[in-house]
Amino acid sequence: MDKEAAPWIEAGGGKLDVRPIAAAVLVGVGYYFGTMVGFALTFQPKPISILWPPNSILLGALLLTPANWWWLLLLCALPAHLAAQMQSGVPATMLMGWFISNCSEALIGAAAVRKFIPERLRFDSIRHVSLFLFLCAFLAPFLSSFLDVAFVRLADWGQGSYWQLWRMRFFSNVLAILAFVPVLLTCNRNNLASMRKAPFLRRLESCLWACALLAISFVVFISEYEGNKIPPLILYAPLPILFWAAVQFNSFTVCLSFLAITCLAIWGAVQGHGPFVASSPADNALSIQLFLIGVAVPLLLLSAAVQERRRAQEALHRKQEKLKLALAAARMSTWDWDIQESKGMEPHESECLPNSGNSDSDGDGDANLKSFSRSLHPDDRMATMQAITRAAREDAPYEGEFRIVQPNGAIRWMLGKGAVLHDEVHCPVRMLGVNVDITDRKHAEATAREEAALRESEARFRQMANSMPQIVWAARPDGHVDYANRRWQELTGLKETQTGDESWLPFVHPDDRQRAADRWRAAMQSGQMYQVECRVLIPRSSEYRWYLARALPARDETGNIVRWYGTSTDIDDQKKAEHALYEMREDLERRVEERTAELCRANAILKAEIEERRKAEEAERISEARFARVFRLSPDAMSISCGVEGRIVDVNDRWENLFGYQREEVIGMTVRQLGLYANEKDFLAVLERSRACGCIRNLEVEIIDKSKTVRQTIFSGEAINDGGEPCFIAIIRDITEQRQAKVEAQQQRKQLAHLSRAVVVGELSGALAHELNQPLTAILTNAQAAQRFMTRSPVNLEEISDILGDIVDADKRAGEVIRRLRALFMKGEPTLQLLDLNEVVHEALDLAHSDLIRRKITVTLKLASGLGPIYGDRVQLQQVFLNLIVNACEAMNGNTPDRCRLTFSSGSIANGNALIDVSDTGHGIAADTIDRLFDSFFTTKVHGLGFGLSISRAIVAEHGGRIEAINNPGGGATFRITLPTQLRGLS
Amino acid sequence: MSAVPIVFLVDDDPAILKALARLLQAEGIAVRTFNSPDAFLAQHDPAAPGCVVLDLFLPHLNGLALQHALLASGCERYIVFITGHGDIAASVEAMKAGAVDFLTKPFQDEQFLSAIRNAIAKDWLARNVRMELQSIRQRLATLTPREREVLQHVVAGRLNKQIAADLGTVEKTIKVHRARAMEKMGVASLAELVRVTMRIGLGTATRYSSESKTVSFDAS
Repeated sequence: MDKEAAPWIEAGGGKLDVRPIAAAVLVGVGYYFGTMVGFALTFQPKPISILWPPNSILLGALLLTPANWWWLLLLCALPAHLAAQMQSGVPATMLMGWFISNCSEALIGAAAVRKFIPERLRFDSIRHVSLFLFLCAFLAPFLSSFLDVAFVRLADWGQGSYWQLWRMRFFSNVLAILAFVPVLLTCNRNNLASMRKAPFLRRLESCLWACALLAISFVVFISEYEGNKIPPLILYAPLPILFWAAVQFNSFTVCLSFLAITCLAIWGAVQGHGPFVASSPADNALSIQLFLIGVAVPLLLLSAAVQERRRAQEALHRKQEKLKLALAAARMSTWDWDIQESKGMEPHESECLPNSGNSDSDGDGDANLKSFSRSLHPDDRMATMQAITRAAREDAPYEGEFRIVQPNGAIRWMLGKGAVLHDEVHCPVRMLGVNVDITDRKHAEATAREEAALRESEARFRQMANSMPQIVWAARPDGHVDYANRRWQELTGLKETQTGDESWLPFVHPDDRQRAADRWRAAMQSGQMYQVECRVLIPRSSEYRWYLARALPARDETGNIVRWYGTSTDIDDQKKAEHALYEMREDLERRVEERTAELCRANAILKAEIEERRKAEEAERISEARFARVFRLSPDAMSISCGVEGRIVDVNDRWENLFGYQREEVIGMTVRQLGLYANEKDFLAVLERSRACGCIRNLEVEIIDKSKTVRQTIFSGEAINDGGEPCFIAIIRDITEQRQAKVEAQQQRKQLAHLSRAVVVGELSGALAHELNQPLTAILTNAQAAQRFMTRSPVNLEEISDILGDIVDADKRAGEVIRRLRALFMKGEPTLQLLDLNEVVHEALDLAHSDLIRRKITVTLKLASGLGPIYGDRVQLQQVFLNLIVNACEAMNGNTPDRCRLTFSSGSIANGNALIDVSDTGHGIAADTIDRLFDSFFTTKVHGLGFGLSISRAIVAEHGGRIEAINNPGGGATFRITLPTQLRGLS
Repeated sequence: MSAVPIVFLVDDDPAILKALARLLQAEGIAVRTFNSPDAFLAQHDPAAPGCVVLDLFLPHLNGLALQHALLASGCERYIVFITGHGDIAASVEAMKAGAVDFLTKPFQDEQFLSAIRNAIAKDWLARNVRMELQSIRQRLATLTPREREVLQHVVAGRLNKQIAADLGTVEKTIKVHRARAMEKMGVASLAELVRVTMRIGLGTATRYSSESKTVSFDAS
């Protein structure tokens, strides 16, 4: 129940009214029961109390509570005191005396402790325990015992001497304070909580210990001993258990165990058991008290020492943890170098610095220093080690920056600081220091430095770039031009910000644009130097100037392109000069070449001439002989004449044959004298041409031979210079026979045409007879009618005149028919004239008119007007159309009248040609004959000669046209004639 | 009957047309000219007396075809063909179809004129016959059925008494009918009556039958 009060009060500290009162009540109750316990543990009959708890409970309460509560606590203790003591029948004065002494003891102890230890009294501190032992356990009972015994003596209550009484009270109070106060003070929440939170093994140990304590206490204090044979060692049996507690457990446990032993020991003694029953009660009590006090004092001190040490260790450990954290946070490590032993160790290693020989801290010192040295960056190793040893030697503080290489290869910058420690004789013993990881700082510094340098460099670059006469520009690795200097801006008028991907491209000459852009892209891809010459538009002067643009990539350490830097230099003058130079050089080269070529040619010609001459001299003889042969045996007549008059020098055999003269007759004569030309104009033409160009080619000339026969010849001649005298070689080919043959062929063809015409006319004879019959009938009838009119009287002369007019007309008509017939029958030369093609068609149809009617053939005309006139022979063209009409009539023979249609359609086609289609609805042309249709002697008629169409084709061809046959889709055939008109010439 | 006969000239040759017309006019014959068969067909009056002069070969519709066309339309025309070609087959065909003459150009005026006159005469005759028959028929039509019945018996050569017996009446009545019928027919004697009725074929076509008391006339 005391335990319950203590934490409650301890937890307080507020100004609540309830708590001091509750505490006071508890104190009262505690006091009362303490008194009861005190009475219980008293040797009877003498009131010799071995243990007197009320004083100690009061003291404990005072120690636990603030000083301003004390009066309340003491006031509450009084009724308890009175209630307890009244039972023992003690006189009132004695009661108050004891109360006063008891209170004084508590007050002395509490006040003294409070004076020296303002905070809570702790039993894990040697100082606190020492002060407690002295002030509470010794001084307070010592002083109060005097007061107490004085009261006893005054009341004459006790027996025994003063000192005997004092001793009894003193020791009982000391023991009570030692047994109860520590328990009360240590019984707080912390201790209980630590017991609750103890791990399982700890709990097991606690149980084991508790069992051991109880068992041994019972054995020692409760068991009965035979007589007084108490083995002296038995008293020491509880000590190991108590020391176990002192070493292993907290102070509360220790105090509690002591209280338990105290209670058991006293209870045993009171019951008459245990080792302390040997002598008189007073002696027994004293021996128990002394034994317990003897145990308690070292026990409490030991416990405090152990606790203190443990706390110190914990604090140290925490400090170390803190330091470790701090070091880790600061990226630091410490090191310690034993100079004399040359041992280097760095016990407080930051985790981020694994390489500092920590693992070898127990090993060889040299090795440690070496390993530290090894961990250094090779570049810094020498300097750092020298600095450390110099600092040790010169006893100076060491500070240095160095790099270490971590096992994974990473490099870290470290700042090392150290100081030398001396021994008593001021001799350097060891060196302590820290290493700080300053990699980040270094990097930051480096970055800052770089940035500054970059800025400065950039500024310098810009200044330089802007002051350059060239265009300077920079581009990103992707080709985006993001800088161009002032020169560019001046030239183009663009703002500084107006840079960009292809912002420069529009300024490049369109012819060079593609090339420049392509090369730029290629350079981007390959990372090779970009170089291009191109013309750039200078907006200010609106002219193109040649620029040489060059760019090189700037790369970082890993070789990646960071930027492109380029310049564009005006090379226009250079380029122009170059061009001029090039042209000059070209010109020069060309001239040299020409001159060389000329020389070569001249040389070659010269050589050839020399060679030729040599050959010619040799060949001349052969040639002359050959010429003589050729001249003699030539199939053409040849003559050589000399001089201006053309005196004949020589003629060949053929010439003799042709002209009929002997060579001897003509040599020396002129052509004129001989009268060889049939026409004077031929002679003049020959003369003129030979004079004009020295040669005559294929001139047609008529000559007269000796027998005065005119012959057609082709005359060719060449003026030569034979030995300074102008000579003329004439070659005359007789073409009389050829001409004859040609004329005969023409004649034959003409005859054939005539024959064919005659055939056609023959076929149309019926129709023609009818055509002639009509006017004849009209004439006859008119004439006879006139005769009849004449017989009348009076004669109607008007009528007669009218009749005569009609007779004349009819006669003309008959004459016309006859004229046409004659034309068709005549063998006359073709007469070419301008003809209307439609008219020719009409004429042909007129001739066939009666025949067509008789054959019940319907004629349809689809003749286009405006056809150009045709230059041709009327009769021949009529013949063609008649042929076609007759053929069509034949083809439609036997058809019903509705299947007898003949259509003429004409029209103009391209190139001024006229077209005439003659279509029938007859049986058409058989496929196997269509190709041979126009061949001579090819006919499908029974009595046909096979001339009609072949002659027609020849006639059309002579007129420059053509004729073709086509089978109509709906049956029948169409003959299509194309003829060139005179419009063609106009167009 | 008093109409002047007209010669219809059809030829595509205007010179011929004009010359022939002139020749006929010189002879005082009325002429109408047509330059194509179509024009002729469209314009000519079948009732007019006269004849046609037709060229055998005409464009579109030749002479023979025109002849057939006229026959088909029931028009009796005497045709004189003229032609440039002496085409025997065509001339035979033309004559078969009732052509009066077939002249080959050129022909003599007399030859032509006689052919024309011949044709006109034939036409005149034909028309006269047609008119006579028509007058007889008209007169016959004025007879009462009883008179016509009696007349038939009379031309059949029966006596009045026989007729009266046949018709179941008295002779006197027959006499009256007979006299009236003869008067209506414009004849004075029995012989004349018989001749008239013969012209229209009444006599030959009459049949006497005791069973049938009707007499059929061929009135066409």
